[in-house]
Amino acid sequence: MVCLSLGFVCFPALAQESPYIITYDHHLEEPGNLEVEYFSTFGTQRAGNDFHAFWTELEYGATAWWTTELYLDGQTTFNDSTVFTGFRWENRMRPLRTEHFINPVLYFEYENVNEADKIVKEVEGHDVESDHGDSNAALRGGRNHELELKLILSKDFKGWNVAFNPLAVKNLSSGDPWGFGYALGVSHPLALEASANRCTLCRENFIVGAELYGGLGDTQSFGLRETSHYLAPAVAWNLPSGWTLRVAPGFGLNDNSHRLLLRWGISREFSGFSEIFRKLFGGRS
Amino acid sequence: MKFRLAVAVGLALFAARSSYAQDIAAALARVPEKARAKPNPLETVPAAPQAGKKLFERHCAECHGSSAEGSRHAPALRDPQIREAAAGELFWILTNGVIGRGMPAWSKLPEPQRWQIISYLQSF
Repeated sequence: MVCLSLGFVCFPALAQESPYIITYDHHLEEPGNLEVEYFSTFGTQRAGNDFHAFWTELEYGATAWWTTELYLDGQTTFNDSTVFTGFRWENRMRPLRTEHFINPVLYFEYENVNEADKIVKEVEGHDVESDHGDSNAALRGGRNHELELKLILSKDFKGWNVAFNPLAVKNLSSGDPWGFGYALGVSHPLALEASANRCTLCRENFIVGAELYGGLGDTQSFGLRETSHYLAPAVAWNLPSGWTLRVAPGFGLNDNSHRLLLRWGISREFSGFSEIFRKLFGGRS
Repeated sequence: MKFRLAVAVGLALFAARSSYAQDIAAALARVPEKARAKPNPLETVPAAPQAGKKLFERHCAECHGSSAEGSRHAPALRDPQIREAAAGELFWILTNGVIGRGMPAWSKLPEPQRWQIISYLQSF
């Protein structure tokens, strides 16, 4: 464990994670906590080889209103090769100090990924299945520096969470126009009240939901033409040991979409990282 | 030398506790009147404090201590101000957090679970 190897002590923290893999709600990482996450996506590919894309997320609660994340992406295309495809640096900031009817969060992300990247963490512009059909050797030569902006709008009501994320992406390394997309998520725990005893399989530990996400074209051709869209039922299992498991099989909704993007992920949160950062950078604790 | 160190640590802890007491008072003062009047719907449910204890240990103990005794990062919740506060006040603070002072909003927990935590905090 990183914190032990650096001579500091950190502890597993127990979070209540939503089942979303693509959509964001307005809940940020608790300050000082580091969440380590691993996600996998198995994707089917017509006119090409199926693939397994994967990414690691290191999500840190810098303050109660700012969460910052580093992603490392890679993929294996069957009958081809395995490649590291790049990194992303994401920041989410909450502008309002209290809960409101709808809660906004501002999202900024810088991506430095090559064109072999297949994690499909967001669908934007005219992203379509055939973009992933070429070999890794052909795709990995192109590198994209992208700026991605999202407005996260989210509401909790009687145990339900509804979140909507319109997004805009600009490829900084080409003259491509701004691309647009969306993600919509709805979720609800299987039980609203907690039981009095520690339990693993009780209903309160499961949150179920669904995500809908896709592209909306770009500034030159806004709309649904030549875009891909997915619908994914999703479930999260928050274990008392501190681990969270998520599964979300995404089904393509039109001919431009992969038929299946089967996603799953595992995560665990650790507290005490603010102390490590303070000590590493010379601050006093 | 050791005596000076002990005095310094004692003064620092006292200052932190005074500051936390002020933080709690300030947080309670921010609660809107309407929220203050909200009763705990689980007040008469015997199992609520026990379930709240489980939730507290899961979500709150990391900062507030396993028995709500407080830590360097967050105030003790075994405080007369907490015990005597209206349930609605505590519910509002739990729901909205005290973002500027580092406490996150816990609206991601369903309402009944937040009330269970309040039942536990007021059972001391």
